[in-house]
Amino acid sequence: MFGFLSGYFANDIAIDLGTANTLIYMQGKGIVLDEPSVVAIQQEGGPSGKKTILAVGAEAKKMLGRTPGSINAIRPMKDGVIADFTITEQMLKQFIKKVNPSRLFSSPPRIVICVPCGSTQVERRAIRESALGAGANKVALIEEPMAAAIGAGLPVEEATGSMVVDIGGGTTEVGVISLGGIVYASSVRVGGDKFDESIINYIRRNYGMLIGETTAEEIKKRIGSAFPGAEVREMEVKGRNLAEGIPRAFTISSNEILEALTEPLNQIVSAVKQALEQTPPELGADIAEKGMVLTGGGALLRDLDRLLMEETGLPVIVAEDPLTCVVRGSGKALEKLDKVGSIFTND
Amino acid sequence: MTDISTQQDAEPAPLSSGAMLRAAREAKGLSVAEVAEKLKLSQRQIMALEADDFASLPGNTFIRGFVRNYARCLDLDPQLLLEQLAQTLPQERVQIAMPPVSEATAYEKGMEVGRTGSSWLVWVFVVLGVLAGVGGVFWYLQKPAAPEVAVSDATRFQERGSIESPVQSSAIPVASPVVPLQAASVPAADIPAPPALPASAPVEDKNTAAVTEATAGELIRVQTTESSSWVQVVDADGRVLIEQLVAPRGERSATGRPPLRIKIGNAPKTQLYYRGQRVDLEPHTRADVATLELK
Repeated sequence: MFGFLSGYFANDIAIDLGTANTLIYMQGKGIVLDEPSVVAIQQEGGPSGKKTILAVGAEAKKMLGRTPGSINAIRPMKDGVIADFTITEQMLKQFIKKVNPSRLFSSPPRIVICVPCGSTQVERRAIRESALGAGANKVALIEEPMAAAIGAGLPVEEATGSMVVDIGGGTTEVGVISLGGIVYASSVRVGGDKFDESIINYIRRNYGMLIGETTAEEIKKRIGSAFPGAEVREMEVKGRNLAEGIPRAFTISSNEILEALTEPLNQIVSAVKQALEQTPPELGADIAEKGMVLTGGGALLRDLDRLLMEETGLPVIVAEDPLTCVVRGSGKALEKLDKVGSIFTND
Repeated sequence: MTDISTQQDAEPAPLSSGAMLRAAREAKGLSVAEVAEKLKLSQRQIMALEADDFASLPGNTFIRGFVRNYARCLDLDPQLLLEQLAQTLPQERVQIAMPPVSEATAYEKGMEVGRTGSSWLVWVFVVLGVLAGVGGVFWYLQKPAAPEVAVSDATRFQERGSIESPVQSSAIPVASPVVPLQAASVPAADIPAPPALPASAPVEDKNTAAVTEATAGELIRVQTTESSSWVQVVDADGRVLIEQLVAPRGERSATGRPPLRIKIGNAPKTQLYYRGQRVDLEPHTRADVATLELK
């Protein structure tokens, strides 16, 4: 009834609710928020005391692993889905409030949110509910491979196969898209977090040193690589020696990190190979011609495209600005929200 | 595979990206086949890239990606080449030109209504609700309601909070701990007694008339101790003998035709005397309110 009015007053937003980072795209404004999906919660007076949100986003991420007993820095998303419903809802609420300060006569926004294609109905419902709880008027869900493909600028609407590999914090999504629909999609729960975990485990096993997640992430970004290169880089790392129990510094090389990352990388490679096996031959031919596109933060891992190129024998390109592909794609979908049904998921 | 370019920066500027790639490849002594093998592209695609023949390549996104990969393969600066490429690459048509779906189906398919309507609709419903509430009050005041209906209505008004119960509005102060119960029960007593009660009264009247006349001076007496209490006494004729808040350490007495219907708000703090004898309120008390009938 007042559709035209609420359209005028509302600021529709698209959200990439990721395991590692949450990005928000606002219609007409572009990306307005890019913060880690971390919430710091303060517990007041004993275990049954009141819980208050201390910080959200970048501020809370600094607290990860460095909190006293009364403060708890939590990553409410795990493997691309909600692990802690209430905290996710609170986090979304804070983020939405940040980008969309409520004004007089402003109606709640319509929200497009990405979900991993492998998420269950229950998980999708949880994401939808928490967005509604965070003050959305309507919620549309879009599957991540579709959003990533739109954001990377692939010709999703044409009768040609496009393959996209979105390596996020918690999940890796492989999708083959043609004519505005997903032909094949699969999701493996391997992503940036698994890379960090593998690095932590490798260093504990081989050096007897314990390092934190933040340090592991730093190592991955600085010297991590997916394919043996000509140049070997080194980095000094500080951690706690398990035998002595004392913090020590040591040097680690990119080849060692490559070895540490072998296992999660193999899972990604096999997911890609499986997708190629399952793709109908006509679309497979298109993919052989154009190759696949890497998006997501994992695409920034050095030489990951080389690895996939060598393993599949197909051209692989890294999308421009891979970190924001998904949210930009959702944003583009948002602009078509009233007109296009096929790119959104039904359940 | 670093992206540091050194040797090719000196190249004259006006060269197209394809020509730069070709020159770099030849300077490295690589053949088209070798580069194609490295990039997993076909030789035809490599030659198209070098000839700036974009029509035979899959699309701008892919062309940019291929050029970037090619540049990295030859140790060129991809950024430089991409800038060069942007000048020659034809503007691409809008990417998502989806088949338009009618608006109604789009909403059915993709959208789920979360909260019903906008905040405007909510206000409309609130106004309608208030109007309905006011209408209900008038209807209630004009209707000679049966006691049960009156009770339930009164309780509802209590819950709504905003509209005062019609009985309470006559400025009768009530003891605070027992508000809901009293509010519910007061209207029942306020209304003229239903026909059944007066009909039965004359029968009893024959037996007790003499006694009533005998103790005409003071039939019933109520005393409060340290706190006030709401007291109501109605006789067989439906006459209200006492209906007020008795102050702490206060006393009220009355005479009427038995049986008397008595309601005492703060029963534990109140003493009742009937025909000079103390009546134990305990068995008649529920939630501090005593309701009893004395013959």
